Amino acid sequence: MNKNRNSFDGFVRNDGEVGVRNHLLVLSITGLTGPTARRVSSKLSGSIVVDYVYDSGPIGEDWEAQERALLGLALNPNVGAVLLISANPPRSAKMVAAISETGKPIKSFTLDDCGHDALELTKRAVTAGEELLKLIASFERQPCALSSLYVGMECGRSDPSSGLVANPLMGLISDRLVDAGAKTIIGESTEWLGAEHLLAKRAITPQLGEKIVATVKEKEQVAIDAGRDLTGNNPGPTNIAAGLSTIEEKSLGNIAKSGSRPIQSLVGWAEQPKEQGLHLMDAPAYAPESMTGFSASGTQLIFFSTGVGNSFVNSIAPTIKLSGNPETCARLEEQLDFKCSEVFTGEKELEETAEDLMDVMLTIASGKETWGEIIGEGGEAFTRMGYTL
Amino acid sequence: MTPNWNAMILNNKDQIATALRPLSAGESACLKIEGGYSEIAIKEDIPICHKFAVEYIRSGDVIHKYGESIGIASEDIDSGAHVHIHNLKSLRAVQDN
Repeated sequence: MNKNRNSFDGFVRNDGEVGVRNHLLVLSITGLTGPTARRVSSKLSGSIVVDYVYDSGPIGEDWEAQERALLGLALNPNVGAVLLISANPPRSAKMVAAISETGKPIKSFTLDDCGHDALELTKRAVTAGEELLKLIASFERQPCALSSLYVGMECGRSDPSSGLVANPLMGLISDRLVDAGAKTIIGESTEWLGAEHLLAKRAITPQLGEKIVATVKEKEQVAIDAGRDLTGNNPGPTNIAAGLSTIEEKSLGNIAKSGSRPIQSLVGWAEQPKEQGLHLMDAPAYAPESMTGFSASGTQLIFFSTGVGNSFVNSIAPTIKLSGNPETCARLEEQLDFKCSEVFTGEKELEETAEDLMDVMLTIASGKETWGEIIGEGGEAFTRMGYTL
Repeated sequence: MTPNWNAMILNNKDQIATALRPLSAGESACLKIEGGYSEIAIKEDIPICHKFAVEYIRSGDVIHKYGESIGIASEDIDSGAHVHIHNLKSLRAVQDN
């Protein structure tokens, strides 16, 4: 193990980005080719598959988001090479051009090129995939600075232990990463409600602060228009029984995972933040969509805190599962990559535990597999924002 | 030697702490604070993960957790007393809880 807390062993890509994994990504960008892509991936050991279930039906802002997300997943530095599959030659050509520009190896096959024969497509794609796997197997890890990391902070199936232990712990990690020149991000904009003014106070410009407040207001209004008052029944009866009293308190527990550093920007779902430092993503609170937004924006790693347990992980960014709930830590011995219940039981300080979590993060960044990777639990979920034509 | 704590506050500006196990009226809680520990007499039974006051809070005072406002006290609250929806009101919610 690399004991140096300022570096890890990663894959330096042709465009200078650094990956913590070296995936062959089998990417199907049209719904018609999803089953073929899964068949192809099953024959290529160690490959991961993402199959997008729509084609070019989404329109406007929605369409831009879908295109951005698909390209972003392919460009994630954890992806060593891309095997692109579709039933839409112009869309594939556009994607091949954009990915080739970065120097990332890509091979592309469409149903149209294969006489609309899915078995022919399977045969050709598997052969090309073998070649790509051989090529990326020659890529080697080398020492990389912490500043090359971009890390997402997620929480799901939270309980009161999340806001007390695991989320503040992620906040400490975020602060350490930001101080080392890295990039971090939190999403779930509806969960900022009640704490948006605090996020706004940490924005690097007053304009950004206003944008954060306006974004939360807009979400609140969308919910009101749909007959839902996000503050009226929030915290809900379960939250209240568990000890949460107000919406402010609930949101503060959620945003504790952002730490304390200034906020550099607010990006849209799957949009890449530019500067180093801490960022916000205006995206759904549902973890599968939130995490796809993160990995499409380039995160190499994701921390994921849970109260009672949440098994979902991202397929491209290794997802580090942690919990501070003693009962959950005992019950989910294998599923959790990091257990921090000793803070809850009064045996270990938060700061000391953060050091241990940094070490775990660096070993995972250097290649040690997470529970989700070992078991193959990963998936992607695409956020839709409008009608399909 | 580090004592085992059974309640914690996350910021020394906070007037409330969270119980990490059920606490009973009459017992003395060991409170983890920033940079140390403190003892506090518990006046009411506090369920696990519920909050109690660590100082006297006046009606109308803003109550802090994480060093930030989580609402205002709707009545005077004794040190060691339970703080929850009966005496803590949101400043953000459209309809009060």
